[in-house]
Amino acid sequence: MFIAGALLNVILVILLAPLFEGIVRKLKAVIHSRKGPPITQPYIDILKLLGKEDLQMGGGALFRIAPMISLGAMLLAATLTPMWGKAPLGTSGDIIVWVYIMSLSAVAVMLGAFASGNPFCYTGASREMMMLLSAEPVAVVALLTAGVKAKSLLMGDVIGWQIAHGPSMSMAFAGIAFFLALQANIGKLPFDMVEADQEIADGPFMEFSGPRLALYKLSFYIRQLVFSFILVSIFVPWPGVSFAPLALVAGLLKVLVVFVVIGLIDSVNPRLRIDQSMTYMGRVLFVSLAALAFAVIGV
Amino acid sequence: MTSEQLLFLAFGLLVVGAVITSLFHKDWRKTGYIATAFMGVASISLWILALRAFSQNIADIRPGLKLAVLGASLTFHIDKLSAIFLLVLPFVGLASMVYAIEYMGKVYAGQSPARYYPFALLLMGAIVGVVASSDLFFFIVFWELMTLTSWVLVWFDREDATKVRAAWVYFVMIHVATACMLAAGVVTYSLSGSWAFGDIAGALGRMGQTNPVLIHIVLALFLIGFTTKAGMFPFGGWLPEAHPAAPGPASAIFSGAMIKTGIYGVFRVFVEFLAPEYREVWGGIIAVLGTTSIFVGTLTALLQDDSKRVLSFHSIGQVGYMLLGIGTGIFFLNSSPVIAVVALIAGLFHVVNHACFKSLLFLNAAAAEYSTGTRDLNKVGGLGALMPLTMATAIIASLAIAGIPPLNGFASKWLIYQSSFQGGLTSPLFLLLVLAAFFSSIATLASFMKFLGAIFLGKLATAGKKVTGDVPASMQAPQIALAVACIVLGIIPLLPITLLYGAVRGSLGSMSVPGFANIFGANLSGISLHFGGVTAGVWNPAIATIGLLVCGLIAYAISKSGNAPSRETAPWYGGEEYTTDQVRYRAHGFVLPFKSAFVRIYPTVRLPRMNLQFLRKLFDFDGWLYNPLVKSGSRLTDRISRSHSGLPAMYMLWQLIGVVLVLVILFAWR
Repeated sequence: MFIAGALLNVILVILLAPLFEGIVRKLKAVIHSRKGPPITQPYIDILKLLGKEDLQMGGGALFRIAPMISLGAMLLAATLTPMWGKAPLGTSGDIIVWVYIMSLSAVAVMLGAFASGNPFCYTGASREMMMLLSAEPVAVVALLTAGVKAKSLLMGDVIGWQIAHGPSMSMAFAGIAFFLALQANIGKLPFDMVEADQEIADGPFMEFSGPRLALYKLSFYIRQLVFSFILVSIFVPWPGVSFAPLALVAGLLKVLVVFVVIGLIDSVNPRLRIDQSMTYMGRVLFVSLAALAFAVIGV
Repeated sequence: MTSEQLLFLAFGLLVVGAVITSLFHKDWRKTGYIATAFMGVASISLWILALRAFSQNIADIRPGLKLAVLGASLTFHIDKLSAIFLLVLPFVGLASMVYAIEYMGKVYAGQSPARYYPFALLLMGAIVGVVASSDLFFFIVFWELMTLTSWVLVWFDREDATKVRAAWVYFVMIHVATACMLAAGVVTYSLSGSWAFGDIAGALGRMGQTNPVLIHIVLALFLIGFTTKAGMFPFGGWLPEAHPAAPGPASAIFSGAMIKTGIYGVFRVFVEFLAPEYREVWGGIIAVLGTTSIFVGTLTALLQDDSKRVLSFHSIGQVGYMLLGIGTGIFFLNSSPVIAVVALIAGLFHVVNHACFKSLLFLNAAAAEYSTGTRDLNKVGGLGALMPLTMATAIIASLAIAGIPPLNGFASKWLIYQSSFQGGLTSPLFLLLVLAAFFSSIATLASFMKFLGAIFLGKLATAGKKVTGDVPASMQAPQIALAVACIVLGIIPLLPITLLYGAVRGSLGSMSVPGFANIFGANLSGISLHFGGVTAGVWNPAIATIGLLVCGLIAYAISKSGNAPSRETAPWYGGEEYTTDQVRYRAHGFVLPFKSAFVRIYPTVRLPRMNLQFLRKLFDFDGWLYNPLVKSGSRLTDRISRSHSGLPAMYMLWQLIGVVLVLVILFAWR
């Protein structure tokens, strides 16, 4: 049963993640008064990349498998993510496991970048690490706030508690903090300094081409989707439909709202420098710590 | 064989091995094989001994050596806690010995093996003695032997002044700590009249009733003594000095085995001997100190550019995780035995895991040094292409220490987080400790990304041009063994946890401990933690590993679906032509944004350097005692001699003054 659910999640994220990216691109184009690419453009990109020439520059085995580990970890994280009310592998891994599996994906990106030996990749990897170091703690504190409320770190327990008890002050703060860190965690403007096309030419992905780049792109899209799903299903799970397909539709609608907001922020903001974003995340950390403090005193 | 014979066989082998290896002065390789053979057989007998202890066969060995004057008698007690350490530490020792066969001969070709192997073997013997003995006096004797032998290994390369200085720092710091421990031991002895471990608890209990201040002093002394050896901040200042000075395999023994004895001591005294009313205070202190150590050690490690200094600062950090687990456990022993048991197991589990991955990392760093001759992370690079196996094990060890699933570091860190989190629900302080530990975990990741990226990945640096291939097989084998241990312990964590549960339960004595299935769940493939009857955390490494493999295969299938052609090209440097060394990204730059972001807190987290100035002054008796005495003495006699002017009239004057004085005194008195 849970295997079928896990496969369903994997297929869902693979199929849906590029769609949301397409929507955001279209939205940005509308704001820029451009016509923009069709919504299906990310699918077309990926399909085309899968058939393009795979340029290897002697990076060794690690260079070749890093994109697979990255996407594989992301797909595994998707099976731990509650997308239709509950997480299929929710009885095999809790919130901490989810966080670490997500960071495994980032680790693969960094190792692949190092393996290429290109200094642009190293710069990108360094920034990726710095973003992980500054943005991930915010997300974790927010998730722990939910855990303190539910007295458990299981995704299912946390969501159940939220549905049973309704909105609370601490969870609102935690949700805001998680959302503020979300943009950094998924590398959207103003926090896209990891890739920074105009500056370091795609950073850690620079030496990757063809199918490997496609894997990275897909992994990147899925990362956005998975993070947004965690946001909506842990911090705004209401009204809590028990019928799975309906829950999925409700979840997707909420995720769409998140993506629209992210797209709006993305299109009107300049890129921050890495040190500015670390300072910013330091301040957001206080918001989430405040949320945790509220949770401890029970509001 | 009886347990007694096994233990003495091990001691005998290690001592005889030390004597035999001390006879060789030239042939590193032959000496290495001899030492490995002795260490190997000794390890096997220790493993048998340990496994027996797990099958309810707790050995109590009393060879009858008594020091009646001191009231001490040489006794050993191999319970399950000792057995855990006897399983792990000889493994590290054996791996290090095998590794040393080729390593030492090349790197220290001009030196004599008689200055390395005897001390390494005796060090292992002393470590075994420390974890096996059940008499505080002989515990301290073994402890001192451990210190002295390791000290000799630190200044193995005595041509180098910095290494001699490092050895001096080590010697002084550890001896101050040992003195603290000895003082605490003397106090307990004076109260109970016995050095036996079994009587310490009673002595501490009596002390609690009669002398409530003294007990805190005694416990603080014990804590300082143990945690200095364990390398906890702020007492671990010797680690980053001693490690880079010692030869690579010796560093692996230090961090992999020796510093664990400090944790062993903390566990013995604070879990087994401490009366319940002191648990909360001291558990809290240990947990907070441990977390401080995690934070400071790891952040400082991030800023180092010498591979062994990076690793030794991480030892300071990782020891913090163990102490956080154990401290949390002690804190909750009274109020919530479930949290306590999980936390204690987590702390000990991290000890086991750290022994595997940290000794492996030291061997990896030594392999890089072996090949390139430098430890500077900014000068090496790209060794992975030439040393693929060393790189693979280094990646496993790095991910394990960073706590990436499904490796062993994750399992123990996960347990530490879970227990401290559950504790934090009632005592919110522990929530902050979890957060600090978690943040440091990501910092650990950053540091090891830097480590891997600098040494093994990227393009080959000039320092690696003369590297011909991977290290010899005898250096690869221990690395592979330790890497396999990291994976196995990570994928089937319930096996070590079962053993550790037995050890913790044995240490808690008569206290009622919840059953194993009531804590860790009945499912054998994964851990589902139950706190108060409710599942509060799950980690199923088997399913996660299979899931990761399947998802990786899906990714592979996707990448192959387009049937794309592939071609070899040169890296693209934005259209310019550069040689590799011109566009090398140095390790130093990897955490630069971090350095500038944390520049304000950095000065406060810098480890204080041991200031030896006052000690030098103290031992400089000429300086503060003899010279001042002589000078003032001669100044005095100078002044007196001035009165001898040689004029008779002057002497008459003196006599006159004297007579007047005498008369005045006589009359004044009347």
